[in-house]
Amino acid sequence: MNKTNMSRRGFLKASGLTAAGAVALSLTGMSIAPNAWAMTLASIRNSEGQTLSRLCRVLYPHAHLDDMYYDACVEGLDTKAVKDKNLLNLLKKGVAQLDSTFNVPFLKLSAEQQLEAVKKLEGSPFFNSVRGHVVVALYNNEKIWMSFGYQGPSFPHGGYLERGFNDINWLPKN
Amino acid sequence: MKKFDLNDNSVVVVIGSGAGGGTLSNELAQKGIYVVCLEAGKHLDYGKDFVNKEWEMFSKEAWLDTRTTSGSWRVAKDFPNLPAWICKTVGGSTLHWAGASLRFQEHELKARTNYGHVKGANLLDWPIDLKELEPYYAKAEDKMDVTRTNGIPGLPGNNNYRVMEAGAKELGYKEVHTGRMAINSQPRDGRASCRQLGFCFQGCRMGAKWSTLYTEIPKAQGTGHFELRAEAHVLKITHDKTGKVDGVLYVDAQGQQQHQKARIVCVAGNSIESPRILLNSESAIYKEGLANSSGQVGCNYMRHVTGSVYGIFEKPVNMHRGTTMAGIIQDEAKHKPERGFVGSYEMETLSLGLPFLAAFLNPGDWGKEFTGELDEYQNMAGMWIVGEDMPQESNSITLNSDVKDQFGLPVANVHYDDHPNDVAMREHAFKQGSAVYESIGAIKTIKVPPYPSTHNLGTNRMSAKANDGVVNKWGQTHDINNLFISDGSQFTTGAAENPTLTIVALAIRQADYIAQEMKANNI
Repeated sequence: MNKTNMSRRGFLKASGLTAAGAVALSLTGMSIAPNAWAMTLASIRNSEGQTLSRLCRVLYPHAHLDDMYYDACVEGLDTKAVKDKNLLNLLKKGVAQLDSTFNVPFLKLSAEQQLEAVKKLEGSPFFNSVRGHVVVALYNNEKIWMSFGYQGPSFPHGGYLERGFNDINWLPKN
Repeated sequence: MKKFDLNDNSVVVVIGSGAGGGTLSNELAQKGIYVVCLEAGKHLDYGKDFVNKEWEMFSKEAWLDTRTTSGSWRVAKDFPNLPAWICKTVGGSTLHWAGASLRFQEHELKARTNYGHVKGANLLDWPIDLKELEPYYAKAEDKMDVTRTNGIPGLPGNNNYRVMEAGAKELGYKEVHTGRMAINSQPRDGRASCRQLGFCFQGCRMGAKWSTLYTEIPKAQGTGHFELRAEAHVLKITHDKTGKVDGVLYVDAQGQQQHQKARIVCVAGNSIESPRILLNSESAIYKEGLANSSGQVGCNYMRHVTGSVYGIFEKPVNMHRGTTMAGIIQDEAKHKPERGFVGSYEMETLSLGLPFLAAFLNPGDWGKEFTGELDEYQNMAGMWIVGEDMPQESNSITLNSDVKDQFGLPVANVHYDDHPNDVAMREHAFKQGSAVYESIGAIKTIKVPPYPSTHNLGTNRMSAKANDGVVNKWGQTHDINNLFISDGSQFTTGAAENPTLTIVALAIRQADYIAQEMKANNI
């Protein structure tokens, strides 16, 4: 590792980079080493945050998305839980349930067992709260859009009139 | 700008500033009639407040005050407090509408006669026919700068349209084109032409799509006969001892209750709020709510038979580029009962951005198969089905006295069950929509259940006889001659077409009638 990278990581750590912040920085072209960010949590414990982040990935798995995008969803949940005691209790109890399904911490379970543990909670208030949050927070994160081929706001670029609104070239000719 | 005194009882008060209320306000003001328009929502500036982001605009535009739901429709399960996806803003739902501007067909205005008795349906003929509406359709098309009318060229087809068109032709469909759209294909009426931004549902950042926000409202303001009061949330309509309406009670932007006196009141708050206002205006004289001697206020709620079909292909489509509703197949929009249902449907392209697609593709779904579909975003093409649903008396807007809004009034409960005819039509449309994409090699098609209702219709319906409905052929209530309904809630039946053009045509026609009746001192 070269010196520049070292100091960058030092900077990232020193500045207390959040997952949301890491997402923003990654777009500027800075390379961020895994674990250079940490979830910044105010209401739930870090270990609970890790479990919830994995739950988010089990719910909406995309191999092309780094963990930081799921972590950012958890930060959003955590922020909501600061002001919402019911949600906080729901999250804590939900994590405990995930950990107790096979009497092994959720994070240590195989992918198949994790899926099974989540299915057991489907439809519960905990499941619904987390799913409802993630389906908005994850896909509304503009930093992931390009990896799906979604180009986001077009007005700043003058629309698509001269940028491929009708450029499809594989249709049958009739 | 003109300001009217609260005690000025010479004004016409229009409730709502969307397709119905905004148009009616301007038409009346142009004739020199004094109008106060009360709009519950905020006054956004399309040049500053509109952004190309789905959730951000949703939170700025949408009517998010609490509503409840019941019935077997899936929206009640997936979105129990969001039965409808309509706007609470100056301009109403003309902010987020897609722009499709189709005339109703002659047979649709006489649904009871042409479809016969349909068990469980409360079908009725409109008290007007197409011939009476045609001159007003022509005026509405000119006003709204509708493509393929008045010599205005059609919009160019985008990728999503080109996929649908290719599939349609492969299937043998003939009536396929880029639609009659209230989106400028060339500059007109001082507004820019479309640059294929997409994001039509988020409010047109170019002002290329017609919206009362930047057409009717400023034109009305220019007459000096019109005052817009934004963030004026109507509580109830009041009446005098003789039973005529005499004013409107509302909460202003500062949270203060105000009472605006009125000579005439026109209600255009969309098919959920309009009947709710009438019902919440109950009094000693009108125990069942205003204009409700028929008991039909709030009944016969219609929302169109809807659904979407997405096709996944091997190669990129990029459906998000360009207009949201970019074209139409009209071959199925014919009454052919041999298909197993009465009425008909249109197929119109539709695209959602990734954030909305995740929320609406299959609400509540999760897991690998679901995310696998989202991973194909770039290779997707999409269409929306819009067809005629059956009016049923039990599909209704009622007051839910267990849940109160921010002003302490009962919220609207929206009850809906699909009629068997609706189910048969949706199944047919799903099959045909899928076939369109499969015919040109879709590797998968996805049938998407209805979104929260954007077309809300019929809850103060028009009828020839006073005991069959709420308003007469002019939108004037049968019971109270200075109370009018000016939105899609006056629709007797829903027809297969997107409703905005008809709402605007009826508003222009109603303005003529109101002016004539005022002049004759009948109201």
